[in-house]
Amino acid sequence: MINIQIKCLLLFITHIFLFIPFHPVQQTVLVGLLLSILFLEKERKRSLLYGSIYLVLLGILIALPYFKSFLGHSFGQLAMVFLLLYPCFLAGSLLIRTSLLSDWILLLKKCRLPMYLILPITVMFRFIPHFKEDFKHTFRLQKMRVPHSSLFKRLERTLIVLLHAAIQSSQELTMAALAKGINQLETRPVSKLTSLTFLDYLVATSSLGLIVWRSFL
Amino acid sequence: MIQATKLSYQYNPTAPLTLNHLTFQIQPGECVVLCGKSGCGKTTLLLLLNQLLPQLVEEGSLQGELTFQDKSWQDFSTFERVKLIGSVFQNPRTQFFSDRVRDELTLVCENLGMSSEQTQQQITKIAALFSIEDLLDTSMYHLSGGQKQLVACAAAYIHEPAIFILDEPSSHLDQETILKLADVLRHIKQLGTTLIIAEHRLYYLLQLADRYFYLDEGNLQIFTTQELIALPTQQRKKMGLRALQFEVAPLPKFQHSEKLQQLVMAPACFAYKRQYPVLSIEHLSLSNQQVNILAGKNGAGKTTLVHLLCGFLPQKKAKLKLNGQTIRKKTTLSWLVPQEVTYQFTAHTVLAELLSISTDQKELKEMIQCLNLKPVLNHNPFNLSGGEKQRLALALALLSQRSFLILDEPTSGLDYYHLTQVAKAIQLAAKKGRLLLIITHDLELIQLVGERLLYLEHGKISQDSPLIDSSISHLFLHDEKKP
Repeated sequence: MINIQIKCLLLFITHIFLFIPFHPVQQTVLVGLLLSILFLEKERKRSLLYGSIYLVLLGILIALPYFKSFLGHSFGQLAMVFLLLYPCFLAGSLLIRTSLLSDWILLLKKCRLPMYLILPITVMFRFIPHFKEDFKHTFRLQKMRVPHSSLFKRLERTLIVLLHAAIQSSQELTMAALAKGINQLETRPVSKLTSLTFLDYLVATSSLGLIVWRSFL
Repeated sequence: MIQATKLSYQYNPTAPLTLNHLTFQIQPGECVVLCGKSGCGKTTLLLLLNQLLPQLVEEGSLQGELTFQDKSWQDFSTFERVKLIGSVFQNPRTQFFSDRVRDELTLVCENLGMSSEQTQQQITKIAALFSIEDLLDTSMYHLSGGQKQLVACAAAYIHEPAIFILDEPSSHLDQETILKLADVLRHIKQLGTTLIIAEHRLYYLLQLADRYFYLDEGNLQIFTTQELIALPTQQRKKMGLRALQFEVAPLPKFQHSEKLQQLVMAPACFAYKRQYPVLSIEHLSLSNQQVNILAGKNGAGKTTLVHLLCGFLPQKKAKLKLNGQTIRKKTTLSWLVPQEVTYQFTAHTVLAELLSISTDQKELKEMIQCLNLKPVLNHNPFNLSGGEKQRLALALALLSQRSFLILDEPTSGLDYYHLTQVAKAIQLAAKKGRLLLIITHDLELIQLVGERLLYLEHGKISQDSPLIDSSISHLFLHDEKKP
């Protein structure tokens, strides 16, 4: 729904907020904006969960002067650090969870990166869930095979299998890539619509507005 | 027209010829099925036909001539080759480059320089042909194995190539999806596309194939469909070819251990991440006096059930009782032979792999002899052929001394010879008194070893009965009749 370029802009802005002093109200507005986008991107449960976590952290911040003990104070300080990092985490989560691989290819193409770099990078990202699944499956099977072995021994056995699986997958993937003509590196037409929508402009203006607001407050 | 004249191929100078002086012609619009035992050269020939082999194996040497419409295969550029040939490979997991079906279909169109409008038109047309319209905006990670293979076919056919090459497309599919694939292939053939299919399961291609190219140690023998049907059954089996049509044969009667073992699972319901339950079992009881077959469509909940039985899923309610005694640690009771058997191997040789499970010389000798593992004892398990890997995995399961063995599609991608080897191993396990649960869609394996059928539908056991001759045909028709 929101263009990937705007999501990157949001990530950049949240990092600016990390390095300059901010007011909790401004931060709450920024977090609210990010949560609303997450909600609009059909990640409703997740946005409600993240919103609740933020409110808890905010509650701890408000209660911080009342923590008298060393442990309580340390806990409060920890919550403050989390609160500081929270917008970055939210923007990162928004970018990763709601962007398709084709969006990334498009973004990298816009950055004028050569195709021989774009393709391996995107295929690598595409295969992260694949290897995660392989790892889970292999680890369980190794646990079944040697139920009383130590965790490190089991990890070692799993890694051996995964390395072999990775070699096999890469060979099969090479065949599929050649059959589909992915090594055609000439400029090709982009079928996906890339123009910014009204919502994109609205989000971009609001987030930039926050920086302007910060400089006057 | 594709023309091969005295075509030979060698993977390296010291290796024997994988293809030995093959001469053939394939007419436009023809459907040719490549068949033969595992390792006979089917995939090599396919990779030569789609011109991938010279790019994949540098030290390989090609002799003879391969032409398309009188132009040498080597004179085609990558662009021309991709435009001319669509290729589908065996494993649907490693054929995708995108995370959404629509993007995967778009990718080939972009590679061929199609405009946005053309791409959209082609996607609509091909999605309708393969009946995947409702999957277009679905994530690849949420598709079943059968759906992935259909999407792989659609992505390879998106630009309507003149030649469509498929390497064992049915090996990961259930009965219903196989028949759906056969329908799509029939339609593609009617459009004038040349089909070249390497396959072990021949029955679904019977109405489709014009000729069968039988490869035996690199040598070619060509049969028409009538000639292949006319072959005596014994000769066909000797050639390693699977059944061309299903005749109801008498079911096996083989020996079981006298010591009764009974496994009972308490009523269990399982759902992933607070979603709707994918599995709801009211009663499940397995005995070692029968070979239990678990069947059902892709996505029916078979894998979830197996994972519950193995203790892979955190479900405390699904308690298991073996001979009345509650099993505390399920992973020590059972042994799973997965579809991807290499996940279980860790040693550098077959012998080391076997020794890591058991050191009993007598037992090892018996297993090596029974599963014909002697010629590969010093080979690396990861470099074995599909049939050899499967037999090694079965040997490990049998040596493990676990009471409960679960085999997940043990014969997918195997020829008739290796299928009978696997069946022998299953019979040996039954004789040794092991509890057996076999997940399979393979009707030939069911006919060879099955004694009791558990049919899973929408997470529930819809049929639990002894396998009799009529229930085999019912199982076959059961899937066929479904939409």
